[in-house]
Amino acid sequence: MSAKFTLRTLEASGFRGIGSDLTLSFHPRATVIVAPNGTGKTSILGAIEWGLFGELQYQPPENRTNDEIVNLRRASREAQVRLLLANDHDTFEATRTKRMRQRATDFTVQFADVRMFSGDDADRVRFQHLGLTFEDFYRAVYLHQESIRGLLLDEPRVRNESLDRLFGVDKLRDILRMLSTKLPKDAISEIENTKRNAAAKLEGAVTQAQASHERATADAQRQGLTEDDLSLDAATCLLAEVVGALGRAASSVGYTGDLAIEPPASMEALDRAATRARTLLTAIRKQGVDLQLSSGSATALTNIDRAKGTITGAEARVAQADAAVTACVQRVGDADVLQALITGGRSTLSTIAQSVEAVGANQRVAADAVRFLNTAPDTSDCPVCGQAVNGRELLARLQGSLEGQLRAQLAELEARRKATAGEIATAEEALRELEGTQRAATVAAIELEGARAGALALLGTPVEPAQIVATLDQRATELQEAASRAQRARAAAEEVLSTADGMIERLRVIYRWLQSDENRTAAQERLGSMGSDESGADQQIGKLATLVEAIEAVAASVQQVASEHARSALEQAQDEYARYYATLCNHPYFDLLRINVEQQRVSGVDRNNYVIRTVASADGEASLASSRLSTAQINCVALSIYLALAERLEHNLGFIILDDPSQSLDAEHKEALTRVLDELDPVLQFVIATQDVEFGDMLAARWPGDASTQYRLRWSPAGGTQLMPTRV
Amino acid sequence: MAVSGRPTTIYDDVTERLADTGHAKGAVALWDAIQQAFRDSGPEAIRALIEKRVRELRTAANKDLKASRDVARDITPPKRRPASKSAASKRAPRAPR
Repeated sequence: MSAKFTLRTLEASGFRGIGSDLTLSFHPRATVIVAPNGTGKTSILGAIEWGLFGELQYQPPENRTNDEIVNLRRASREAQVRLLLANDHDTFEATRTKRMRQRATDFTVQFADVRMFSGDDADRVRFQHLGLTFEDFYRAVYLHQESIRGLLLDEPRVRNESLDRLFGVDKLRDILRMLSTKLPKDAISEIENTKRNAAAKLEGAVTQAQASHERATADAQRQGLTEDDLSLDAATCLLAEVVGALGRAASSVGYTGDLAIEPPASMEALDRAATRARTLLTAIRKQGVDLQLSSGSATALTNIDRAKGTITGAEARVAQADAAVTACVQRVGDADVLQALITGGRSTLSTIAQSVEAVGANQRVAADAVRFLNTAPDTSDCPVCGQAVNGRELLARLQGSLEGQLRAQLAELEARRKATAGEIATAEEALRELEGTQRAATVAAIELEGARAGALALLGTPVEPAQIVATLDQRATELQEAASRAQRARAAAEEVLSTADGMIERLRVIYRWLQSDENRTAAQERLGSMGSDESGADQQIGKLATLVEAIEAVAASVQQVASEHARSALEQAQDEYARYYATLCNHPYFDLLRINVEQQRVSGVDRNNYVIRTVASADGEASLASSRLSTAQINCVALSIYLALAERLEHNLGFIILDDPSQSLDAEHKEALTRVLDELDPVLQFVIATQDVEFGDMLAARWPGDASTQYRLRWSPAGGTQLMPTRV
Repeated sequence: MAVSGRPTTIYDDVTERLADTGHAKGAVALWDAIQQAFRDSGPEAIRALIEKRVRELRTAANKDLKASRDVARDITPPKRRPASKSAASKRAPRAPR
């Protein structure tokens, strides 16, 4: 036992590869875990690291929010590690718990005397009792297999990183990698370019503003405005005059709208006031036009004239039609007389037709008798009535009647029919003529009625038909008089409005002059301020320059600390690592090891560059280790540095952890390694994990019997890492 | 070893170095922000931190310069676009047959 704390037990559950509960008891001298790759060796070692410090060196900081810590098969979704550490007079239990999707961990430290600390207090107590930081822990307690692996590569950058890690300054290296001043310098350059462009634009604007102001001044002079007139106060007075003039014009034409214009308190308000005055002026002018149109409307006069003409024309046409009717009656007679003539003639025609029919019947009887008598000229008895007749005499008489009397009767009847028909046609013609003239008279009368109705509608008042035309004339006279009055009012208003128009134009000129003056002043002031250190852009450039200086200062300080840490550690441990190198490597010629820390500038940032040389003590010949030593010998270099640091660094941990330290070593070097380990501090506790069965056997032989404990591991998806104790 | 038993981390050493070498408070404050960002989120957070600061300053500067450009733009009347030539006028005259 010693004053330094050693590991007693580890209880872990749900931590990375460890699924179910795992309890591991540490041997006071050596605990060796021999297991194939992927069975959880590094998880067990990481449980010690995480349980004490809450970090994993090979877990990138940016990934600390993920759930790599918690075993995904663990039902509780919780990782917990409990470490029991003890020294001669004290025992404490460090417990760390993390739940899935929770970034923070719960950390408690409980002593045997039931003192218990948690959170920051637990961290403080841990530091007080163990006396080292996480970086120190990684420098001198825990040799991770990745630390060795990086050193074995030929890539200088990786090798430098590995050595930085061994010296506990790898995080400073990570920080240095990001401390570039390119971004702020580029920003300064960009802002300066933009500033130059903006200044060029402003200079152009100043020139234009000056020209614009000169034009405005010329306009003001043309308007007769003096320097005293070119102010907001003078414009306000002028605006008051405009308002007065508008009021007079409005009362002339009867404009009743709101004439208020707010006195301008600013240039923008002056512009608005001028615009409003112009709008009011236009409205009043329109009101004058409307007044003139409505009071003496040309349309109304035209309508009156048209109505009057329509009535006059209609009256003339009625008189003409009436005269035509009278003349027609005088010429052809009354319509009743004509109608009686027609009716009488038609009756006569009927009588004539009956007479013709009777004559025709006699003619047909006589013709039948003639035809009979021609066939029987000697007939003595009438075949009709049976009376005694002389056939031949009768025949002669009938033939004479047919040719003379009957024919004469028919001719007379025909002459009478023709005469009567002519009379009827004449009467009908006269009647049609009379009816035509009467219809024309009726149409003229209807037209006259319509014209009078239209005029009455136009007048809007009931008037006797005979008075309509006179009333129309009176109305026309009234309209013409009203138009004259409106024209005079409009003319009066227009005179005032013309004056107001001029004043508004002067307001505009004043506004443009003030505006151009303000623009010119603003541009000149802005341009002037751009050239001074007070401008915002220059201040930001100054801040960016300060940022560049700060980044450079930080980078320099970080590098100095990284360099001093490495250099100091090397200087103080150089005897030890040289001794370990000689024992472990046992090189027949290059038996000395020398490590120098130099500065190498990469991307504008200085970083540690380690130069590892092997030296032959016999003749002082030196050579770069990377080009001279084998992979196994380089591993020996790494082990030498680590063991030297572990020996030199003072702290209160009495154990060291070695993760697969025998990488690439042959049996001879493995044996040398076990010997070196055994020759270290006799009370130092070892925790060694290896997949190398031969190395495990060598360790078992080095610490036989109860001098060590050896474990085998197996891993299953369901249970994760499981322990199989094998006491050697 | 000088580092043995020291109650400080390498981050604290850098802080002390900055203070000892008389650097301005800005550098110390920047370092505090850098180490905090690195501890919280890793190296990329440092880049993001510097980018954020540069962006803020650049934005402020551009805002100021935009105000200057706005003054120039408000004063300068907009330029008229030249009338675009029609396709017919651009076409080369047809060669005589």
